[in-house]
Amino acid sequence: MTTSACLIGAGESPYTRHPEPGATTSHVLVDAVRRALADAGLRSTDVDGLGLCSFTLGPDHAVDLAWRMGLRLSWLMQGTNGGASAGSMLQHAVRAVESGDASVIVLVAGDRMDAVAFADLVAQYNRATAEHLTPLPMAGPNALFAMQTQRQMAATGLEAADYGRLVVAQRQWAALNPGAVYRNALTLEDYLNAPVVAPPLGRYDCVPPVTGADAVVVTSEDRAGSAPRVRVRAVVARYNVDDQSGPGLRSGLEVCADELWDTAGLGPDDAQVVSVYDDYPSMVVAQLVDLGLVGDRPLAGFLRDRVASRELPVNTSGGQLSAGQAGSAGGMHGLVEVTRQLMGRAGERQVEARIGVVSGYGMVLYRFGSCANATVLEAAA
Amino acid sequence: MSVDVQVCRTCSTRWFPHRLLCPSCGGSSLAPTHEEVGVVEESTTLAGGVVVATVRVGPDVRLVARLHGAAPPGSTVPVTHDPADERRPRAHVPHPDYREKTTHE
Repeated sequence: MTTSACLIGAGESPYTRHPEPGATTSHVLVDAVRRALADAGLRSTDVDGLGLCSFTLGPDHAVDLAWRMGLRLSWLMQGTNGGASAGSMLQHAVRAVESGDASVIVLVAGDRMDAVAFADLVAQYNRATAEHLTPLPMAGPNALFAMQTQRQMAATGLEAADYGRLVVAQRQWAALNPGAVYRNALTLEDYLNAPVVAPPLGRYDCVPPVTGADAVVVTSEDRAGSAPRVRVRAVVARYNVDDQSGPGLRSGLEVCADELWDTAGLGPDDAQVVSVYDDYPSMVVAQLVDLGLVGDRPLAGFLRDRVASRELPVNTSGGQLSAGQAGSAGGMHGLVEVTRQLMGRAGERQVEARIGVVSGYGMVLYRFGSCANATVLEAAA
Repeated sequence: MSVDVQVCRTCSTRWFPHRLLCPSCGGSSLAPTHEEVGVVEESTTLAGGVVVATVRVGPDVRLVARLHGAAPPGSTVPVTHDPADERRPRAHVPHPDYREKTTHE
């Protein structure tokens, strides 16, 4: 059965590679909240639920942010799942508005992610990282996903140019998004000749850390009334599906995709706009496969003929690879983008779509990510 | 000159990094076992020349290690927690307890 929750607003605090001294994490989070509420035509006094995910808000927590924004709440949560935070918080928020625990929930994620914050984050990401990876030395997950990409290339036959077409296609979308940090043209030749980061990964395979935040407003169909809205038809999540023991070629969505589409009453071929978590191109591939979007089609041909051609619009903001990765906002970025698309508020990059799907992926425990979720959304007038 | 892989005393499944309960059977009796060698599955090179590899020990435990010396995929290498180990090639797997252990030995 589909949910009775919907999204009525989305906002993004502008991404930047070089934050001003005053651009604190709390400031970008609040900026995103204000923009999402304005998009929904609401004021902060209308909010009675808040979900927050941030790597760098400390020592403050979600309730501190609520206090400093003057929010009086009946529902509050703090997510910790990074690139999977949007879907995991949305899963909770949907149940909260359905049960009546809250009527208007803002979900927000973001970080001031300058060079120091990024270095601290990746060095102490979790105990396994701090004890067994950082001392290698390894500063971030590039090497892990370089090896994962090697395994994926061996298993699928994909070549560098196949990943390059994804990256170039996202850059072409980014050129239409004034909020993307990298909008200049990128050719396949540029991609293939880029400086090497960790073979086979080059510069354009790795997300640029940025400062920024994203937010959405969740409410019930009853509360939304006739307002412009996007229905949440289904949201599913899985955590730690393989104990980090496998090759890491799947995202975790492969075990819940059937549940996702069955609950939504739809199938993968109904998707008309897609945002998949793109920390690396190999994970775009994994999620497209796991969501059932590729189906029986040859994989390289699907990437070229469906994705690069824009027959299936994927990561229309430019994705994190071109728009930037604002810390824990990484997963929320795709939810904001598909919400905007389905509400007809995507500007020059607007596509014709009634059904969208968003996936999140994140929290590298030792060798690859451990959290995955997906949401099917439907435009409603 | 080895790596401490965890083995479940109930079902014999092995794990690294160490777990709190056995993910296979739920057992709480987990003990370290010493692995001497592993097989390089793939590797990549970071800035500064640091070579990072996936190294399989036994049938199904995969370590993330730093390679010292040439060790192409498929080759068998010694695995060690010891940062003072100077064998080449070798796969070094950092462990926070190791320096303390060597002091006591």
